[in-house]
Amino acid sequence: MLIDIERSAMPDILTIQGSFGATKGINGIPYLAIEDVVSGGGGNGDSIVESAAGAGDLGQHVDPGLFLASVADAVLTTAKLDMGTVTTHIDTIIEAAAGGVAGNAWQVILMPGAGAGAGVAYEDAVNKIFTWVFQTGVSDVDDFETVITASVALAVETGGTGATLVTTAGDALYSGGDLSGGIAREYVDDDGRTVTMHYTAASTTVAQMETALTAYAAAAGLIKLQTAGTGASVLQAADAFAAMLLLDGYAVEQHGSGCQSVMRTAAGTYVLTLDYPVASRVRAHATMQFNTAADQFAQLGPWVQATKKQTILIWDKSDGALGDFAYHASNRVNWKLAIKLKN
Amino acid sequence: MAQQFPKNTTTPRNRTFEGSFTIDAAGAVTAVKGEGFSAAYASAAGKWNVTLVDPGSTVVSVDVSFEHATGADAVPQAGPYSAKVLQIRLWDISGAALANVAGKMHFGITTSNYRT
Repeated sequence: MLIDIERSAMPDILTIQGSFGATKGINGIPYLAIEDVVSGGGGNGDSIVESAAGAGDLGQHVDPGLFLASVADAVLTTAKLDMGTVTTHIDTIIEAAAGGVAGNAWQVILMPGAGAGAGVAYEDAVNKIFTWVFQTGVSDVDDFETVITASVALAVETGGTGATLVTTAGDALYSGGDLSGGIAREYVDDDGRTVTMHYTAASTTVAQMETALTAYAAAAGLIKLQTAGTGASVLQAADAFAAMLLLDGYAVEQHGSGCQSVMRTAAGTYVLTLDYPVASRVRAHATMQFNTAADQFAQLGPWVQATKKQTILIWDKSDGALGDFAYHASNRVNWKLAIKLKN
Repeated sequence: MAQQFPKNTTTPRNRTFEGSFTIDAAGAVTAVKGEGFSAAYASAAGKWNVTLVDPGSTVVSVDVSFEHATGADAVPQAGPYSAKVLQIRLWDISGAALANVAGKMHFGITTSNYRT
């Protein structure tokens, strides 16, 4: 273990020093960088999510903490069309045969044709158009549901009034017959502490997942989007992961030695725990380092001999109170302690 | 016997004096930690004198930190060094003046025998 030693006028003093800075978590807000969770295989989800509650006690060091899980399951919502909203006599609700967003692309056209009898259907899988040619006053709702059932892409979700006749005047439909509401991803609160993101492998994109996250957060969800990822990336099966604890958004990246951990315990309050058998602390020092000058400075907090913990405070002059420093790779707290291993 | 440590410095002619002293609301020094120096209130608001024993001929660098239980709107400053005495000051930001604030002053003074 490398130890930084300074020659001291008091030879039984050991000086240890180091620095720490915030990681992707900003200002103490619990966060999870998804790309750090998924390794190998997929790894196409690179969004960063954070606690919607802001800085606080929902992170790594609080039981039970805040979790995020990811599942590539079939929890999908299918696209639907209530025919009663676009026709006069057809009260059937149809849906896409497959769940997810693909169904949203389908549209239905109803076209009158002389002599069509029970009707003739055309299914264009390329352009996703389903056309039913019906005979006014002859074809009925049952005939419509028969062709829907026989199709590949559509299905009857709720049957209508089968004997009702279909007419040109009330039921010809050349536009507006679009299925909608298909969802291939969503966020679900499982138990008040765990959020699960459901997606469709090889279909849902990062952008779609982030759109769903924004909607979830707007509805008072537990987490929200902190940093957008690569939107066009398509999530794969390997992007699923078991419930992961959101990390405390405090200083976790530390340099130096002799310090067992650095924890943010409150706004502008960081606690160093030494891993030396300290008999006493002679003195300490802390200096704030900024990429861009800021109206904050480091100040020493209490030293607790029994637990070997040194508190470092960040004072915000503008606010006249303790405050967190902004995240930047060059924003760091530099510290030094002179300790005695025996008195 | 003083504990022996490996000497691993690129500046063998430097010596570091470091310590801390507690100050009360009136500025009085109530407790001192460290050796090779003494600390006393300079009888002026926000000023303390640290007198070194057998320093080198040159002060290389000084660092000062202020310890407060809950955080305070005060910053320490290093004052002039003369005749083995370093003055340490405490600036009250809100008051825009030197002031006595109860807490603990920490310092480190590196001296050298290398004459520049």
